[in-house]
This record gives sequence, structure tokens and C-alpha cells, in this order.
Amino acid sequence: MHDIVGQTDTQEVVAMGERDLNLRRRIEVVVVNLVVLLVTLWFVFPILWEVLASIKPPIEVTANPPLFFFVPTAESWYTLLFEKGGSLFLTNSLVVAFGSTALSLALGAPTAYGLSRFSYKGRDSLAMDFLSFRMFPPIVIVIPLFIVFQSLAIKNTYFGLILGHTAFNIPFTIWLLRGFFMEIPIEIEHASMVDGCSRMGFFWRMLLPMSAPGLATSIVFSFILSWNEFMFASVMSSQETRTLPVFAASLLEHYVADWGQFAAACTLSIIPVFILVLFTQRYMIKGLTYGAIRG
Amino acid sequence: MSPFLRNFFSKKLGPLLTAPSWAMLTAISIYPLLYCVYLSFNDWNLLKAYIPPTFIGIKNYVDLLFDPLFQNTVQVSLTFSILAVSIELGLGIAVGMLFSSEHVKFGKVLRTVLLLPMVVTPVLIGLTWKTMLNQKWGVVNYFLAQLGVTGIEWYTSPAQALPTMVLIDIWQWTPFVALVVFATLLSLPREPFEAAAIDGASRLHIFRHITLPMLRGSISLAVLIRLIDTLREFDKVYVLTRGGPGRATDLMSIFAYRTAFYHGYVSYAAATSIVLFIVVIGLCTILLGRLTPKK
Repeated sequence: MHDIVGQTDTQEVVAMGERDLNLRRRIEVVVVNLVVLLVTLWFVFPILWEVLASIKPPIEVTANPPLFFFVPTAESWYTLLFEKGGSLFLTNSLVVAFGSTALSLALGAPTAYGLSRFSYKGRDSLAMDFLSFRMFPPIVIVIPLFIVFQSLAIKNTYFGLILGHTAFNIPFTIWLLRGFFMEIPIEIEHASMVDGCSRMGFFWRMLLPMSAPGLATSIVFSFILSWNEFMFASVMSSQETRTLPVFAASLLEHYVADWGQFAAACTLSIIPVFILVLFTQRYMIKGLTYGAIRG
Repeated sequence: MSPFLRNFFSKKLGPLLTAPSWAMLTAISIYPLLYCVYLSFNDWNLLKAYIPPTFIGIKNYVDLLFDPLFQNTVQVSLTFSILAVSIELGLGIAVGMLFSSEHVKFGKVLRTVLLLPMVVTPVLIGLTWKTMLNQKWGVVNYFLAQLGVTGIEWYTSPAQALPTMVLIDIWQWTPFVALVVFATLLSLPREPFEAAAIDGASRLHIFRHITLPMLRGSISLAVLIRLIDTLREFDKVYVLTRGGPGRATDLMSIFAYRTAFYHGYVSYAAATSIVLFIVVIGLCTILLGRLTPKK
């Protein structure tokens, strides 16, 4: 093009080209954001739809055509929490999730320390051994534990549920915390040792406080894993110790399914998870990939 | 403490710190696994628990081999796993690239939204889709009717049930691949991309020859994690179809769960879950061996 147009024309062509480029850029911005919005909407719609259903008048939940505009009511929520005993199952879920999280952390944090800040032969393969527990299909543990817990008479108890969930949580906690512990610079460890800190003193006074984001992430993950667990809880809990997911699923098993109350139970289950994720979203990808990818 | 003991403890502190976790995991993971293996070589039905387990060698495994229902579960599980993972991989890369575009506004908020499907209770995801896909009053068929598409039966038709389960899994886990891709893209150096752009490489070329090779490591990891999780999938599918209609969505975990807790036939279920265990661990060993860079 440079060869065929004269000197003055070149400037005009360049200016036109720039305008063209600007227009193309703007179109691209609009298109990209529109697609991004649609994609996000597709992923959030089912959740929003369920939250909406929980505040619809119960009869309207199964209306055909579906109801998009309505006067919100707390009827389903009221029935769920005060007539169906939803608050009991909420408490059960909280007790089990907190119990299992605390146990996993108490056992997992020292182990992660032993697997990260010490050097000895076979350390990394030992760490891999712990990770491999995470690959267990849950059914392999659930069937035998069902029989064992029954004979120990801890089936249908909080204790049994907490123990079972801990089996899934410990490997996760160890692997996640190990990644965070490894990132603390060795110089800090040397400096604290020079100042007379023992190895366990370093763990308590330096490593744990410095790994606060790691601790928070592993707590959130343990909590969510236990909060969401279904297979184990469905066979190991009685009417009194039932967790929220098991209860919510049972709402749809009756001859006349309680869709509105189910929606309320769903929303109830999402709220704590949503709050936790908001706080630790920076580290979620790291957690979901077992610490392999920084997010 | 004697000097010898003190010396021993301080030298072995690293491995010693892992002992409590080992003890716990031995009790609630290794012992159950061994017990599961033991059960799989016996004949025992919980509904007739007064008859003690009788040793029958590998009969359970031989029976599995010739059981048409088991052959069906293997086929269903593999189809589910391969379909779900490959589609999630393709869509995930696309969505991840899309979100990494410099034009995206409010990217941080929208990425938080993408996290939600992965952390919401899987059982409730299954049941939420059950409400949305309801043939009479579900919101999905309502939207499709507006577009002129009618008569899709989703989870109630044997032919469409498994694709429906795949669709739900894609909804839940595509964000995982997308966010892994996004996080990796952010951490990549800018220079190769700029150099290629200056040299006049097309976008397709840059994607094919620079982006993809650089993403390879983290994508393989994401695929491995997804393969494991889809092979042991239980929650969503179980609450939605119980493996039906007929045996159309009878995944391996559901087959084992039903055999153990509906029919009480724990020894046969144990054999099934050991097969699943071997498949998952075998896959891990093979793929992890390939993934780890050779020294």
C-alpha cells in the first residue's frame, strides 16, 4: 500500500486504519463481555433459580409456565425450619463439619510440618503416600466402616460421622498445608533458631501465624468437604443425627415432594459455603488442585 | 529424658510428627480397605448376618466378570467419565481463555461466581437439576419450548438419562478446568506472545504453538483430577436417578452402594468397590508417572 499512495495520502490511510482498529477493538470489547456475561449466567442460573424458588409461594414453585415475578414469602422457610425440624439438621451438619475440621487440623498441621520443614530420606514419597489416600473411592471405606461402626455402636452418632469425614479430610489438610509451609523462607527459620527457638517453638510461634492464609484455606476446605458429604452420612446417620444434605434429599422422596422446602434447604446449605468462599477465593484454585497450581 | 532418647527424638522429629496422622488413617482408611479386601473373598449378607462370613476365594470376582449388570456399570462409568472429562476439557479451555482476555470487565467478581458450582453440595446440585429438568413444569423445557424445541425427556428416558448426567457434570466442573487454565495463563511470561505477535503470527497459530504447549502441565493435572472424580462419581447421579431408568445411569459406586445397603450383600459390593479402587489407583499411578518430569 505504501508504494501506490502518495505522501499526503499515507497519513490519511493510517488515520483511517486507526479509526478502523478502534472500532474493531470496541466491537471486540462488547462481544467478549457479552459472551462472558452469558457464560457466567449459565453457571449461576440453577443456583439463583433455587434461591428464588425458596421464597416463592409453595404452590407456585411447580407452576407451569414457571413464575418469574411474584410476591416473596417466607412460608417454605418457616415450614422447613420450625415444622420439619430443619434447624436440628442444620445444627447436626455444623457440629459434624466443625468437629471433623478441628480433628483434621489438629492431626494434619503437625504432619504437614514434619513433611515440609525437615529433610530426611523418603520424605517426599511419604508425602505422596498421604496424598494417595485422597484418591480412595469413598465406597471402599464406607462399606467396611458401616459394619465396623455398627459393631462398635458408634453408627448414628456425631462421633462416628466426624471420624468418617476425617478420613477424607486429613489427606487434604496435610497436602494443602504442606504447600503453604514450604513457601516460608528458610532464612526466617534459621533466624528464629539462632534466637533460641526450638523446632516446636518455631512451629507454634512462627510457622502457624505466618501461614494464616493456608490455615484458613484448609479450614474452609475441610468444612466444605464435610458439609457437602452425602454417601457416608446417608448410611451412618439416624433421624437425630441426620445431616442437611441427607435431609434435603429426603424431602423429595415423599409421595408428594416438597419442592419449596427443598429449595429452602438448598439455599440454607449454600449460604455458609458462599460466605466461606468469598473470604478465601484467592486460594480456592490452589485448594481444588491439591496445591499444585497457584490461583 | 535420657540424652539418648532426647537425641533420638530431635533427630527423628520430622517423621515422628507424621505418626498421629498415620495412626488415624490406619484406623479409618487402611484397616477398612483391608477389611474390604477380606470381605471380597468371602460370602456374607448383612440381611442374614447370623450366618458368619464364609471364605469363597475369588468367586465374587469371577461372578463380577460374568455379571451382565456389572458389565453394564463398567460401560456406563467409562462412558460417563470419558464424555464428561473431554467436554469439560474443551469448554474449560475456551472459557478460561475467554476470561483471560484483557477486555473483560468485573472479571474478579465473575470468577468468584464461577467457583460456586464446584462448592455447592453435589446432592443438591443433582436435585436442583431434577427440578429444572422436570418434564411438566421445569424451567429448562419452558425455555426450550419458547425456542420451539419440545419433547426432551432428560433423566426419565433410558436413552437420554446418561447424557443428562454428563450435562450436569459439565455444568458443575467446567469452571474448574476454566479457572485452572486462567490461573496458569496469568502466571505465563508475556515475551513469547509478544514476540509471536510482532512476527505476525495469527491468533490460531499462537494458541496452537505457544499457549497450548505452555498449558500442558496444568491441563494434564486437571484432567487427572477430573478422571478420578468422575470414575468415583456417586452423589448427583444417585439422588437424581438411583442408577435408572432401568440401569441407564448405573455407575460403579451406585452399583456397589445398592448391592451393599439395599440387598445387604456386602461381600459382593466389597469386590465391586475393590475393582473400582484398583482402576482409580492404577490410573493415578500410570498418569502421575507420565506427568512427573523425568530427571
